[in-house]
Formats: sequence, C-alpha cells, structure tokens
Amino acid sequence: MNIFILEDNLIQQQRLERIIKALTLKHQIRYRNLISTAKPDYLISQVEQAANHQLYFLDLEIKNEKHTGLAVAKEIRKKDPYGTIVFVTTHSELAPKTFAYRVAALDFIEKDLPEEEFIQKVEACLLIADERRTIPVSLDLFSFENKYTSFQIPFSDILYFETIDIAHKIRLITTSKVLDFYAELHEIAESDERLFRCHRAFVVNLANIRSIDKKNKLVLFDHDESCSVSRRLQKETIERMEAFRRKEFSNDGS
Amino acid sequence: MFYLIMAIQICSFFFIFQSISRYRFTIKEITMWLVSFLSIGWVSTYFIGVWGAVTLLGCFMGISYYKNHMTLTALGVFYGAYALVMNSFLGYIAADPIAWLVHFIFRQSSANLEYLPYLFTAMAPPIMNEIGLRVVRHYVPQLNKDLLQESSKVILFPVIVLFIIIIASVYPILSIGNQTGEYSSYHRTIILGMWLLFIIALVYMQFQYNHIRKREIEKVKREQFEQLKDYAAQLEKIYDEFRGFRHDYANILLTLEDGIYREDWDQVKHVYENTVKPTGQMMRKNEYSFVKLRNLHVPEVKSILAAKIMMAQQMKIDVTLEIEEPIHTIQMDLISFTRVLSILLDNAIEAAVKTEERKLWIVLLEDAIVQRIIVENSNGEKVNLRRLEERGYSSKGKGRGLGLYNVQQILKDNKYASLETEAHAHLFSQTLILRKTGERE
Repeated sequence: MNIFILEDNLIQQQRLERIIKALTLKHQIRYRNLISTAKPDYLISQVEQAANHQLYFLDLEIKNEKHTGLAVAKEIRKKDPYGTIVFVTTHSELAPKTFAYRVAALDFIEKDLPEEEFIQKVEACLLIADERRTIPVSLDLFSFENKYTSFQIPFSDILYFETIDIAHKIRLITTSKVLDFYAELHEIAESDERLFRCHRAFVVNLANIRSIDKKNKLVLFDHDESCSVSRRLQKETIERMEAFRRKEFSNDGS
Repeated sequence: MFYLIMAIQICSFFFIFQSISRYRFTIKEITMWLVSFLSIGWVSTYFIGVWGAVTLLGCFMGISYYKNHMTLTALGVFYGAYALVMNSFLGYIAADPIAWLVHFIFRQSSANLEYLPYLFTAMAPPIMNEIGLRVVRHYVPQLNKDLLQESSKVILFPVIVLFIIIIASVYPILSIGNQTGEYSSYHRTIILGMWLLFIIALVYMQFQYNHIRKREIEKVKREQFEQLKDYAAQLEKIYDEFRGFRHDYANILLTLEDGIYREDWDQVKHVYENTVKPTGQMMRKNEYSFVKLRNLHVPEVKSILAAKIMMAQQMKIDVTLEIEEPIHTIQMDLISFTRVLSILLDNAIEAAVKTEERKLWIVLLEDAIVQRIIVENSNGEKVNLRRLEERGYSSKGKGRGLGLYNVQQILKDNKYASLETEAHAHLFSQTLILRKTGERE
C-alpha cells in the first residue's frame, strides 16, 4: 500500500505524517511509501507508478494552485478507480455526500476536531484501506441510459425490474433501493446478458436468484423479495440461471 | 344500420371522454370498456330510447371512479357530462353541413344514401372535439390537469349543474323529434338556447380558470417573497454574529500579543483555552451550511429550501446542505418540482424530528446529463419500500403516505424525472433524478 498526503500547511502535513506512522506501527499495517506533498501535479504524477492499493489524504484547498481538492480527486480517480480517498479539511468546505458521489470519497476528517477524535478517524480510514488491500472492491456497475433517465447501480445489488400500473414506467428493486423511471422492459432485458425477462412484467438478475418456486411460479431472492415467472419461461429461466452459475463457478476456479 | 350508427355514437362518446380526461387506457381496457358500453347502450336504448345515452354518464363516472383510485371527484362527473353534451352539441352543429355536403358530393349517384349523413354525423363529434381540444391546449397550455384538479370543486360544480340541465332539457326534445321526425320552432329555440347556455358554461369556466390561476400565482409570489425575507433576515443574523466575532477577535489578538511580549504563558494559555478555542466550535455549526444556497440561482427553489431549512432548524434538526456547483435551471416544470420538493422535505423533517440524531441532508448535484436532488433523513425503524407509495400507507401514523402518493402522481406527468428511494435501519433517503434534455435548456 502507498499512502499519499496532499497538504500545503507544513505543520498539518507533519502532524498527519506523525499520526499515520504511529498508527501503522500500532496495527502492524505495512506500507511501501508515505508520500507527502503540497503540489497536486506531483501527487498525480506519482499515482501512475503504483500498481497496488493506495490511500490518499487530500486537503480540499491548496494555496496558489488552480486545482482544488475535488479536481485532484477526479484526476486520481481516472488513474486509480479503486484507491481510497479521504478528505482532510476545515468544516466550512465540508460536503461529504457530494464528494462521496463524485469520487467515491470514503470519509471527511475535519482538521479542527479534538486531537483524539482526529486520530480515531485517521485510524478508521487506515484500517479500511488496509482491508481493501486484500479484498478488491468490485466495481461492476450497471449503467442505464435512455431518453428519460440515466443512472448507475452496482450490478450485484439488482434483484429485478418490474412494470407498474403507470404505463411505460419501470420499477427497479435492489437490495436496499427502489427506483422508478420511464423506460421499456425490453430495453432493459437487452442491455445485459445476465438480465432475463422471465415474465411479461418482470426482468430478473440471474446472478441474484436464490431459488425458483415451481409450484407458485415465483423467482425468490434474498431479503424476502420475489417476483412471478411465467409458466412458458420457467424452464428457460432455470436453465439460464444454472448456466450462469456454472460460468461463475468456472471463472472462480480458474 | 341503426345499430351501426348507435355503436359509432357510443364510440364517439368514449373517445370524446378519453380526449378530455386524458386518462390512459391500454388497448385491452379500451376494448373492455367499449364492449360493456355497447351492451349497456344497446340494452338501455332498446328500453328507454334516446335516454339510453344518459346511462353512459353513469358509465363514465364509473371509469373516473376506477381511474382515480376508487374516489369520485367533481372532475370525474364533469368529464362524463362534457362527453355527453359535447357529442350532442357537435353532432347538432355538424348535422346540417354534413347533410348538405353529402348531397353535394353524391348528387349524381343513384345509390341509397339516406344513412350516409347520419353515419358521418355520428363520427364527426370526436374528430371535431379532438381538433378543438388540441387547438385549445396548444394555445392555452396553462389549462393543465393539476389546476383543473385543484380548483375543481369551485369551478366545476356550477358547470356540471348546467350540463345536467342541458341534458335534461335537450334529450326529451330530441326524443320527441326522433319519434315524430319534426322539430317545432319552439323546440328549436329551446335547443338553440341550451347550446348557448353550453357555450356560456365553457366561457365561464375559462374566466374562472384565469381568475383562480392569477390568485394562485399571486399567492405563490407572496409566499416566496415572505420566504426570501426570512432568508435575508437569517443571513443578517449570521452576519451580525460574524461582526461580533470580528470585534472580539481584535481584542483577543491584543490580549495574546500582550501575553506573548511579557512572556506570560499562563495568560496566553488562559486566553487560548477560554476565548480562541470556543470560537472554533462556533464555526462548526451547521447553521451556516445554508449559506450554500448562494450557489442556487433559481429563486423559487431557493426560497422554498430556505424556508424548510429554517423550519427544520427551529425543530432542532441538524441540517446539512450541499450545493457545490452553481445551479441555474431545474430540469423540470417548476410548479411540479417545488411541490415534489416540499413533500419530500416535509416527510423528511417529520421523520427526522422523531429520531435521536435529528439529521437532515439536502444535496443538489449537477452532472453533465442529470441533476440529482437528494433528501435524506435519520429515521426510526426500517421503512417497507414496497408499500410506501400506496395511498394512505404510512410508517408514521396517518397522512404521511398521501404525500408520497402525490409525488408519484406528479411524477407521472414528468417523464424525465426518476425517483430513487433507499431505506436502511436508521436512514431514509429519496433522490430525484432529472434527466437533462436539449429542449429545456
């Protein structure tokens, strides 16, 4: 793991370095380099060289630089989609939800927090980054776009799509969300081979089916969710699901 | 032949009804309704003659009842009455010109053309109605359904009464005319008078619309003005706080300077601990987060956000507002948007106030192809997402479900808006995704 610090205030830079060094020692977290800099361009040039997991602590506002922290984070994301980005900033610049959405920022640490709290937050970020080093984060996103809508959602969250009683409106059911949008069901079924239209009103994610209740003609998912499967397509649904599982299994095995 | 004309007439009724009400029907529904109409129409006409048409009024009210999720509104009755009156009215107007036209075109032909004028007359009303409505809707776009629905009781009641009077007085005359084949001049005058009344009713409706609409706009403007005034007052309050801070700041610096020069570290430490450090806490209050409204350049939305944020803060809710990029337009009809936003915010505030954490996040994100408006609140138990927008369902007692049902209804007419709802154990979040289109920018 490489750790980067972008901070133009030397005292803050050294403070963070000191804390990180102490914490990595405490938790036996191994890292290759700890790179501190006040220059965004230098930091971005260093990103290219590394191949393994990286952790970034970025200050949002750097003096005398046209790049803001957000722009830097976006640059980093282009080169390193999986890295862990943490913003270290003052409260007035805080916008956690925006930054989480824009660059998948893990957390915000306020510089003016009491010392113990500050250390605790840095510690939490280090531990998460260390975990991510061993378990790669999957970024298998399902992107959908048509005339009326545009969204992205992790593919593994998708359970199924259904039509609702408003004409041409589709509802997506995921593990924790419900999303209503205007589209046609066949557009969705055609957008990914793991999606299968098992009923006039339903498109299921083959990867998330738990089982099929043949008697009641239902496709069952986790989280107590289920949807109908038509009698005509029941056999094909099962076949496709099993074919998909075999493929997954052989992929894992290799 | 008589039955064919009757069937066409019933279809005419139906299509007029459909085009005025703008209810969506699937092909299956259309066939279903038409078949039942035809059978009801045939049976009732068989027994009570021209009055059979009146039974259709009942059928239309039935459709409205069904389409409005099992409630009968004045609007539903109006649609039915409108279809009935409009069909007779337009038929009446079209009858003579069509008869003349048919005679003119087929004057050489020797075939039996007796039924032809009737046939065309029966088909004319829905076509004329459709053209008329399209013209009106094109040139008077403010005649939207929302407004109709809101003002329905005030405007529609007199109109419906008038329509029913018209039906009641015109149909007997028509039925007498049908039987005898002759209209007396007296009856003609009554029919003419009734049609005049009908036109007056429509004009009256138009006037009422404009009046109510004007009042509505004034009310919104007034509210908006009040909200912006509150917002300005709040900004002034914050400014005053800062001014006070600036004043203190000079004093603090002087005291510190004095301490440093005299190398009295106890004094420096004392001043730092007691005066400087607490100011750091002051800066961290989220109360200032609504200063971020400066990035929002849509006054209607700005005023509503300011009002709701202040309301939430008064209820001791910790509000975080994030508008990091300047926003100049909202990619949705503003009236609908402010209504949806108000409902989402009201729900969020209502739920947050019942929790320990009392948190509310409002985030506006501007992307290349979409705008995202996120309203998130701390929440008690996990909400059942599947039942949320059922009419009247509520995870928190009565009334709450209705808001989301209304959101669903408003979004039905805004195809470029998608709604995402997310529920976790202590968090509930709704995101409005507005797809940008070329035309509206």
